[in-house]
Amino acid sequence: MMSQSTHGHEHSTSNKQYFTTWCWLLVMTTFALVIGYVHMPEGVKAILLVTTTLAKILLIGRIFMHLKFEKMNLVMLTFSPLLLSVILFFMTRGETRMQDPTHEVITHLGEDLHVEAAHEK
Amino acid sequence: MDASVAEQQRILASDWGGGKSPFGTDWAKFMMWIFIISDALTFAGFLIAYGFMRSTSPSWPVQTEVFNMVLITFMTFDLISSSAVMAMAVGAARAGDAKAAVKYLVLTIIGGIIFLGCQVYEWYHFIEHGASLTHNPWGVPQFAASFFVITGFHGFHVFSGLTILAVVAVRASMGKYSATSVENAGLYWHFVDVVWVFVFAFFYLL
Repeated sequence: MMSQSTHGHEHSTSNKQYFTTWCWLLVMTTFALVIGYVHMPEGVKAILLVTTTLAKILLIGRIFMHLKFEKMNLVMLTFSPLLLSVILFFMTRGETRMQDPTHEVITHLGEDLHVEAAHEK
Repeated sequence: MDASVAEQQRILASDWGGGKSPFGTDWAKFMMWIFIISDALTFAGFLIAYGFMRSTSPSWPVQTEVFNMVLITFMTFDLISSSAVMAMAVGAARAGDAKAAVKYLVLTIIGGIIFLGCQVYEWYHFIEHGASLTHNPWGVPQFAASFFVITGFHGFHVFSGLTILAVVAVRASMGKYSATSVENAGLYWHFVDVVWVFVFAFFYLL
């Protein structure tokens, strides 16, 4: 009962191309590992890791998931989680140490308020 | 009357008129993509929440010292390799080579089982060191909880993927399958790989 899919089968990717992609993914994984171990400013490390990760998922998406054969409408849909991540990142960035290195997490505020409330009584 | 029929046909023939898929895929594949995108939103939420917790924390354990990075790197190589083999299974199914498709599917499943085995080993050692959802010996709030939630959720996806692949492989060995079903299972498996690429970079290395 073998049947062909209704779409896109005029296109195909050869096993050789899958192998080449696999090799590139391994090279980039090794590169990411080196970045993880080398001492460098956190910002530079983050940029390098994000770039490597995006390059890897672009390769997996284009070659393994065959997005290079799909219509642009579908390709654009797949970017929505990435877009949401960027929006969430910048929305939450304000109250983190990236924005204000002196920022401290105050854990005793509740107790202080409790004490003040007790004094007022 | 003729004019309205012609108008209706013109609308149906347009990309967004309902007469054809604006995404150029069949129904099953499009639904798989919608599922993958919604699942990716969940993982995006997890990873952004992890990033926020970490960037508000005064300190964070050095992951390359806490985790067995040789094991994590091996797991990454294993999952990438199984993803490549899965792509070859899809290629074979499309070409109508059922025997090769089953062979590659079985290899993909073996890769997934090895990954899960490594994850069980990693969890076992992490728990042995005293880590749990509510406590961790490094004294950093949310460190162990982030680890268990993110890798646990991903591990469950690997397990689900293995179940799907096993069903497709058994059906393929019986000759009861279509290239689309192998392709859709493959899309899910590649997605699991994509998520791990993010987890590897942001949870273990950054």
